[in-house]
Amino acid sequence: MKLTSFLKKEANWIKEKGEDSDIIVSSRIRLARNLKNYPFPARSKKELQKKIRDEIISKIKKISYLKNSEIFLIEELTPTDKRFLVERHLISYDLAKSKNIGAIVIGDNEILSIMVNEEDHLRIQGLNPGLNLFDTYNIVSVVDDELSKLLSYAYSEEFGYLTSCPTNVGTGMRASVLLHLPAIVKTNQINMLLESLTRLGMVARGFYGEGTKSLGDFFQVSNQITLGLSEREIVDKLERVVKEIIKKEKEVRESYYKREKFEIEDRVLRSYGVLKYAVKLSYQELMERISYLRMGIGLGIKLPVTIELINKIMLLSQPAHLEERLGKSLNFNEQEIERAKLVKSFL
Amino acid sequence: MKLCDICKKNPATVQFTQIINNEVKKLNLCEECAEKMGLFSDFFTTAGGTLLSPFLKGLSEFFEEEIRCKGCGLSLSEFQETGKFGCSQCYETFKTQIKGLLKRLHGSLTHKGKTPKILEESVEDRIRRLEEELKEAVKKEEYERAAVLRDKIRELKKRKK
Ligand SMILES: [Zn+2]
Ligand SMILES: [Zn+2]
Repeated sequence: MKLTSFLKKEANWIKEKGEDSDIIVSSRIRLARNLKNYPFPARSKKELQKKIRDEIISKIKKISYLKNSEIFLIEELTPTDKRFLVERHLISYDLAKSKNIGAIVIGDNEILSIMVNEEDHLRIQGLNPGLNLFDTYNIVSVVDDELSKLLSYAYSEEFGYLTSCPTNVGTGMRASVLLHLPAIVKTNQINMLLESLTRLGMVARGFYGEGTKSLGDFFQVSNQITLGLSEREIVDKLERVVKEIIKKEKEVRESYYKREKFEIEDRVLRSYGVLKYAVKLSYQELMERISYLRMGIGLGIKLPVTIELINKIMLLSQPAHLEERLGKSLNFNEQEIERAKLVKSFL
Repeated sequence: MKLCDICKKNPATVQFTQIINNEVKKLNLCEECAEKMGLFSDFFTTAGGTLLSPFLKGLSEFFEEEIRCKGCGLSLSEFQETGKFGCSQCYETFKTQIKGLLKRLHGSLTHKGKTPKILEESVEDRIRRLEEELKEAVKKEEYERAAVLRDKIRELKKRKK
């Protein structure tokens, strides 16, 4: 376990920031980049993957913005370490599963990170709390510019940045916002929302990004189209869509609360009781309870917790975070007991 | 009691919610099957059927001979299977075949957006940079790379005149 130092730090993205923090969690920008002279990771042999990784890391070390960053080689991480990084939204589920000779570079405050040899040679990511797509894009873009002076990117005048998957070609950019939409889910309107997102060239994914399930009514909404729109246009469009979704969630919450006031208050306060007094808690149950608490705060129901504390509980009570903190692996049963203890200590 | 959606044998004790093709689906699984779904079985499922699969069918129907990319050896039918290219040259190799696909995915065929900084530098800067690279290549005894760089520098100097 090489990551214990991270436990002392707060992940930047869980901070409570800006308006509507009961609905918006974080904003993320990811740029996919490849090197011109090598096959993409999936088509490179292990030795070549290593050569590519070494070359990229030697260049990353020259970027002043990344001076204090930490670099981890994927093959040196334990399964718990990898899961820990997924839980912190620093690496993708795909990289955690992958047998590629890869790396993860993590900058100050975990705002900027670079995955090496995931599906593409480079995945440059910026992650910030609140709705903050433009600033996040600017940071990522500066690092991308610096890297593009040091590495020969695969780029064509016609198709833009060339990526392993044609769904990323062009800008190579995926912009996403992690949203908490309990009222839309609990009133069964989520499928309708997802359908209308598709028509707008947007897509919603689960709590940990691509290929992951939705948990506690959290969704990552992101752009689907990467070719033919500029980065600014993509960010602008996503921001507008996200603002519409927030408006909708608020409207639905209000009418839902008007209709079922006592029912909702009962569930919200019971959720607090369960979190405070349970002896065993699965992560699934924790997230369901947390969903009610967050919605309760949004509705103005009096609760002795803040959004920031809830976010912290959400982060720290994930399985690998529990294991890294205790320095040992836990079976399912032990995990539920330790989780309940931890949550209780915060409430 | 509800039975597991996968083995249809054991009682379902774990519930999964997943998003497949923009649709929320609920899966009820037994612990055994949930475990089998991998390392991260309690949260993660690999969504079956990628976004691309409906677009990939029929891509190679009209091309009898197997085209292969010179850069990485990928064939069109391999691309169809995985939906992933092997190298950046694949885009040039399969250009005619993938235009329809790109159009359907993105509604456009031309990049609009930023360019690598290297393309924006002046010819003088570029020559200077390549000469630095050349020195380094010679020092490291990478003669093949040095030869390529030498050609590039010569070409750029010619263009300048
Ligand atoms: Zn089963
Ligand atoms: Zn190729």
